[in-house]
Amino acid sequence: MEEQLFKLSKEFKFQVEQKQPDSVACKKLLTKLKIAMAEEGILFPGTDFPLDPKNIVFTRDVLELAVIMSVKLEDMDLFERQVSQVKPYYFDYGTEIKKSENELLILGMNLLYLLSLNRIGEFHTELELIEFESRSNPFIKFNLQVEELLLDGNYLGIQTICEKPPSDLYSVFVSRLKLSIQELILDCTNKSYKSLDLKTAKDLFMMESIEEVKEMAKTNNWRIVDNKLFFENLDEDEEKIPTNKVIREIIGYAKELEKII
Amino acid sequence: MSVVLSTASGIIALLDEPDNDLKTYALRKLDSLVDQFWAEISDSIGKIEALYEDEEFPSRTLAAIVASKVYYHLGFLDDSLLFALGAGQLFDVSQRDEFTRTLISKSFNDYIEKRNVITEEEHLLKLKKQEEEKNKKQSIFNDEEEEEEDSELENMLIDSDEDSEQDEGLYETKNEKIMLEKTEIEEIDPRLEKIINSVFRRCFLEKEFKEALGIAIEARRIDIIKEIIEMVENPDEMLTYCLTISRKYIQSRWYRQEVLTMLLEVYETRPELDYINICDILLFLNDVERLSEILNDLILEKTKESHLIACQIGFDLYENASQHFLHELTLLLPDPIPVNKPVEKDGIVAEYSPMEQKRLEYIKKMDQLKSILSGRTTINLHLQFLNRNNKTDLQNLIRLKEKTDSRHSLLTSMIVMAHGLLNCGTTSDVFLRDNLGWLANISNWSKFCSTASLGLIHKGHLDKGFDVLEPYLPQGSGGSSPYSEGGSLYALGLINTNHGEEVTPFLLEALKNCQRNNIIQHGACLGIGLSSMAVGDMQIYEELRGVLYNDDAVAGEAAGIAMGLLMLGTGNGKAIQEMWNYAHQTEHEKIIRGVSVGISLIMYGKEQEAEGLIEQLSSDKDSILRYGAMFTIAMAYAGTSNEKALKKLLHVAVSDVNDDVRRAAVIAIGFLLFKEPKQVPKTLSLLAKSYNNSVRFGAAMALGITCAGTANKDALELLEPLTKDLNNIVRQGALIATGMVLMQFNEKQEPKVSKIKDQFYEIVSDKYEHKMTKMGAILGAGLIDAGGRNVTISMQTTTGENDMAAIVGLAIFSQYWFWHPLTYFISLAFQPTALIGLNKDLNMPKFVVKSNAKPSVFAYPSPLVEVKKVEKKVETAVLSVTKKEQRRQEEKAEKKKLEKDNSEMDSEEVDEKKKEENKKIIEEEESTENEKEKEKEKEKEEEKEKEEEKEPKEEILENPTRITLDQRKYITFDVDPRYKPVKESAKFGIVMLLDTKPDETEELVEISLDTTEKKEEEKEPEPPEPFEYFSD
Repeated sequence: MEEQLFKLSKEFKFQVEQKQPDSVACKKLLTKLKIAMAEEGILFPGTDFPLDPKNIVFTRDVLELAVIMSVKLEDMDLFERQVSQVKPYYFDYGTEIKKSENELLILGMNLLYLLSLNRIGEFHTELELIEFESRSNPFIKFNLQVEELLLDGNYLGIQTICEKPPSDLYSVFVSRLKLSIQELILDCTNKSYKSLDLKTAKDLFMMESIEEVKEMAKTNNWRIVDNKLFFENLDEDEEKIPTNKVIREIIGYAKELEKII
Repeated sequence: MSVVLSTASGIIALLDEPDNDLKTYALRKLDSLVDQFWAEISDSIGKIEALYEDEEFPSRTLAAIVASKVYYHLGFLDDSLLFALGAGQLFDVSQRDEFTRTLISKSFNDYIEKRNVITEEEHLLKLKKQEEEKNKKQSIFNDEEEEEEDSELENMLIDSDEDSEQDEGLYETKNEKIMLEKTEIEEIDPRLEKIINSVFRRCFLEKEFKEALGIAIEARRIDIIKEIIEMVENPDEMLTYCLTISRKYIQSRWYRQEVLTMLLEVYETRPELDYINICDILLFLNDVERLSEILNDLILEKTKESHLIACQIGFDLYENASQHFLHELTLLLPDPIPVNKPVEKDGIVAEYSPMEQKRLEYIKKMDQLKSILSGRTTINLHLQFLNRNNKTDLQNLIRLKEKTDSRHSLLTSMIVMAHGLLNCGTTSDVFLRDNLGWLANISNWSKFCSTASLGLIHKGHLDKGFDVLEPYLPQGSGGSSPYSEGGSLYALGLINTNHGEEVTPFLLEALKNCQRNNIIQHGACLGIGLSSMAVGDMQIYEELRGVLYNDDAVAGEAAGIAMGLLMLGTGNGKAIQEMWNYAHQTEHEKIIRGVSVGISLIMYGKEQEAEGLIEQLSSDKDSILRYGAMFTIAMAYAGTSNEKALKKLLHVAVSDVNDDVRRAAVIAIGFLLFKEPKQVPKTLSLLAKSYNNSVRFGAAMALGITCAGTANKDALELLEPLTKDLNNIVRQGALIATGMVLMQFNEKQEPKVSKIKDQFYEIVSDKYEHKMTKMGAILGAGLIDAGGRNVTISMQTTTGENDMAAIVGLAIFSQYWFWHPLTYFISLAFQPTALIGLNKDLNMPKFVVKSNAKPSVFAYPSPLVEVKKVEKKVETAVLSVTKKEQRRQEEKAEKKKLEKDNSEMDSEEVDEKKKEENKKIIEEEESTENEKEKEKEKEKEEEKEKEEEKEPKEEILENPTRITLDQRKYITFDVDPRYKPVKESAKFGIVMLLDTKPDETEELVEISLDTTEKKEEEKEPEPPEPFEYFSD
């Protein structure tokens, strides 16, 4: 392996481990690294020639760093991309090398990411890929608990559990999860209530202050009268039953039946 | 360490990297993994497409090929091809993997489709332009500038027609012009064209010319066709091949014409002019003028061969061309001025001057040609052939007749019908003459049928037809029964089918003079329909319409059919409207049926033009009109195998409420598919097992119609269970159909023949069998050996064109279900399977051909076995009875003696003793008889074995001879020392022969058409001697 690669990877590691990594520099370094690895043929090598475990570990470490970097930069697209890039190194290439310490952390973050976007199907697919023994690992267990609570609709429970995430890196996803829960509740209240007083609304929406509720009302075009919140934009475009079409088809069937009998 | 990837998601994620190098890297990886991970990649196909569309991305083609492969795996070949075209060099045509092969064939299909659409549109535009130019030219005098532009445009059009594809530039300019007119023609992707061209080149390199030719024809690349013909080593063969396939497979009329015109050009540049093929093409191009010129030239030319070729062309034309075409051609041929007889001067016999002699010869030849074109020669020759080679086995019929109850009018008339079919065109009416007494019992419509059967027997006997029917024709003054008069008029039509110039006036006269006797009207209408088929004469039409409007059920039905026959294939809107209206007015079902069948005949061969009418009829409330709609589909699309029509028929066959309509739909399938008889059993196999009787009957009929004379194994397999069906009508249909399928086959070719013949006999002789089934068996027996075993049923001419008369004949034949006399229409489809050699005077010289097959394979089934059986049975019967009697008399004598001698003996004992003696004697007799039979059988077997051992491998056949469909491939012309055929490929039909020794005297085949004297003495079993009956 070339010296330059090592140098680059060291520099990249250094940059990522900063408290506030420099976004531009990091991304630049990462691209450089990837190109170098591609040229070296160690980025997703083919199966046609024997692989060197050392190279695999190296590539994996770089890609793991890239994931952590994306979390620190709160760049979700990048995060998703990097996770899918590093995954082959856990499942395919990873069969013959020592497991990475960060593996469960990264997979756990991915799970939480999926939960926060309400992508439950993918969440379970990913979960199946993780070995059963690892489910007791705090990184994974946390997600399992969250998923259970989410399924129950126990939003308060989620809020309490989210106060103690297993890793600092999780906080990004936790806040996103909260936001999406809020959205869920908003959607429901919109349909369940005609009006709510502001305080109840604050509690219901899990918001910090009444001001926040007011702001929310503004963005959604809800009226506030006498400390009461009125939901107005009820969905009107209910699906209508296509009466004419149904009638026409049924008469058609009847005619055909008559012909046959 | 080796690793198997389980997912490509990592690589796919690389596609989102901002850097192009990484994306390219990812694409390259994907390209190698796409066969495994296409499902995963397909989720991100959008990204790859975006990369392909991004003009700044350096590896666009790579993206294209990956996308193409993904789409290929997904089964979206259209998209796949689109991207493959975008992949440029990366899509390598020379690869042999499945992806490439699939895409190439896909691209061919697309290309062919587009070319077809484009050329069609171009053609339409051209027509439009031509019309506009015509209009413009009329008002051109005002504006000169416009004219210039016009001619420019015209030149351009002509240029681009000649090589529309080779010159892209012109093509584009033309397109521009078209754009100006706001009509857009979709252009073919030049990249697609490139691929196609490269495949063509590869074909040329690998010498796969025929394949390339096929593709070129389909893709409408006339330039390539020409190139191929010029390139190959043996252009003659390629030309013939090209001619046959373009005639067979090109659907579009104008394009076929274009190809043929091109071929004509090539033919004309050949060193040796192939007149026969040239004339064939001219016939397809409908170019009467040039055809007449060529024929005239050929006759004027002095060589003998050219004259013979002209005659051969004449015969071919008669077989393939429409009446209308032939008529026009005859008019165009010059009418030479007759030469005045040289005046005798002073007692010296004047001679023709050499010039005049030449003219005389020319006149003679021209007359010959005209008579050939009129069809009289062909009909006459066929008649002679059928008469001469008549191998009807009357014993078979007699056997059936004996088993039929003469009191039963249906079955008796069926026997007469079967006889008519057996002797169709042979002019042999021995059976009828022998059974005059029996015939005298026949009355009413059976009489009509039996009189009409004379017409069948004398079919084509144009000269003597009148004489034969004379005694039965209406005489004006009372005459005989109206049934025989009507029948004779029908018979007259049958004799003069398609050639009724002479009899039509007579028939019309009879129609007028019959004082509205509906039976005579019926016969006359059918006769007129037959004799003036497809003439389209409005006067006759009005006459028939008058009969129709009388609203008489019997006459009206015939009038409806006759109107259809008269207007056959004209698509005459007025006639259809009138008939349709009347069908709604009248209350007689028979009339409605006749009219709706008539309507279907008018739409014969109209294909898409009939669509509107079919729609209208098939949605009618009246089931009989829907029935007509099915026949309209059958007639309009006859022989086209049109998919849309087929779908409609199949739909109706299983969904209509009325059984008649369903039956008609199934039969119509047969008419659609008759050019591909092998496909029919497959298509019908399910319908033949339908729960519905009518559908099963229809399936049997359709099989019979399409597979007639082929002994198709699949068809027979389907028919066999149907002949044992629970329903008697289905059995009837299956028996008739089996008879049709096995026409002209003997036991050696198809062992089922003897089985089915026995089955016919058994059914007729079975007391408990339903008469409908018996009727089927009798007709089946008539059909299997029809026309003296010298004809087959076929709806196409020898060159594969639709035979209009045959198709129509079978369509009307299938109406026999409702009206038995219509059975005779099947004779229109009888095609003599003859080889007739002719010399320059159109006489048959003694001439032989060789059939390279064992004689027994294609021999006529031997009639003798049956005769023996009958005789033997009668003999034994006579023997036992008389002997018994003798024995009794002896017994009596003995008794008397005994009584005299031993009077004290107990009489009972004596009786018993005598009985025992009797038994013994009878047993002995029987055993000796059995032994005799066994011996005979043994002898027979031995003889057979000997025959088989001795049987030569080839056979010499004498002119004129029967050559069955299967036999054709074994025929060679290399044995005759004197005559050679003019047309090499002709192995059947009428063949003109070139005399290589013209100086020697010719030996001609003797022809006698005497019907009366040619009575074959059939051995009838002696009647048993009179005896007295004693009971024991």
